[in-house]
Amino acid sequence: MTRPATLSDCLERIAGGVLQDVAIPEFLDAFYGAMPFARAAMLTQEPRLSGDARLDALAAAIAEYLSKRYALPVIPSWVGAPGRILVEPWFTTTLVDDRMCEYLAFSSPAEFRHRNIFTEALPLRRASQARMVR
Amino acid sequence: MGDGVTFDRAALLGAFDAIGRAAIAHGTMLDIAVYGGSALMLASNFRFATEDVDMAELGEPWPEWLRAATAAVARSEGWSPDWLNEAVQFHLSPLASKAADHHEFGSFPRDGELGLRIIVPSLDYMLALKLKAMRINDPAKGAVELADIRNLLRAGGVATIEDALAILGRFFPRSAREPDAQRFFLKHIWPGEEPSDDPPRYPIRLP
Repeated sequence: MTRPATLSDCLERIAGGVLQDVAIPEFLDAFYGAMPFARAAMLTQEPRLSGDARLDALAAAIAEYLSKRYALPVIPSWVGAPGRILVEPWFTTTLVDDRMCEYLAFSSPAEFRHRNIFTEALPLRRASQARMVR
Repeated sequence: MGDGVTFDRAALLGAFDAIGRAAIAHGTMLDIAVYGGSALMLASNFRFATEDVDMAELGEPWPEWLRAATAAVARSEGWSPDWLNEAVQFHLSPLASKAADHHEFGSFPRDGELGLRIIVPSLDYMLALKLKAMRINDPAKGAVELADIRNLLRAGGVATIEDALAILGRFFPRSAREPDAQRFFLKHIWPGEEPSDDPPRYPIRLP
């Protein structure tokens, strides 16, 4: 099986048992490696809701963040759908530490922060991004 | 690789065997330096999966036999066509020496003459790459990155945060000139004492 062709495919793989920390990087590698004109289509289809509130909000944050960061012609409308914003804050760290949470609350990009996801300033980094700037 | 199940150490070693055999068939020998999760998966006792293989640029266009061999592996294993790629080159240190800051991991095929030699970064260089990227809070890979850094610190017996920053500075002096962020993170992730029957080790050479 090759890399997931869309974010929706990526979420299907996770629903099928692939680990999130494998499936999402694979999708990101596919996205960063795609021709610029092909990227918007990789985010268009709404992933079905998984029942995991964090994952559903994260999918929307990823789609909106990538759309804006790579100046795609449209931001998919589904990113604002119900179920795409967390009720409780999620700090994407395994470190239980007030200062780290404070740091993430400050650094998190708006596309994540307004969904109550608090993460690093430049999330979703992959070595494959370098192919775009070289 | 795509299903997150088959891109493991055994499959990767088999792929290297295939490339080594192709090199021999074309009367040549190739050195490939691999980095990141793939290097850790191959040469450590604490990382068991990765999504692709990051390699240093060969410094010349890939020979046709190498393209054909990697494509054949991709087809037979169901991996992406770019499973072996040079994207990491952008992140490597120009100060790293091929001789002093890399170690031979193994030669391939494992059962025959030499066609391919796999090289991995030294522990210090690997740690510096991880500290520079510092992706410990990434929503997708943060937990894995955190574990990698802690294991490398333990494996290297790095005693203090300042020692870790000195290692960063050897390879990435610009990052180390303003180390406040790295120092902040290191304070929070510094590994505690964890007695273990199988302490983290890297690099481990292929037997």
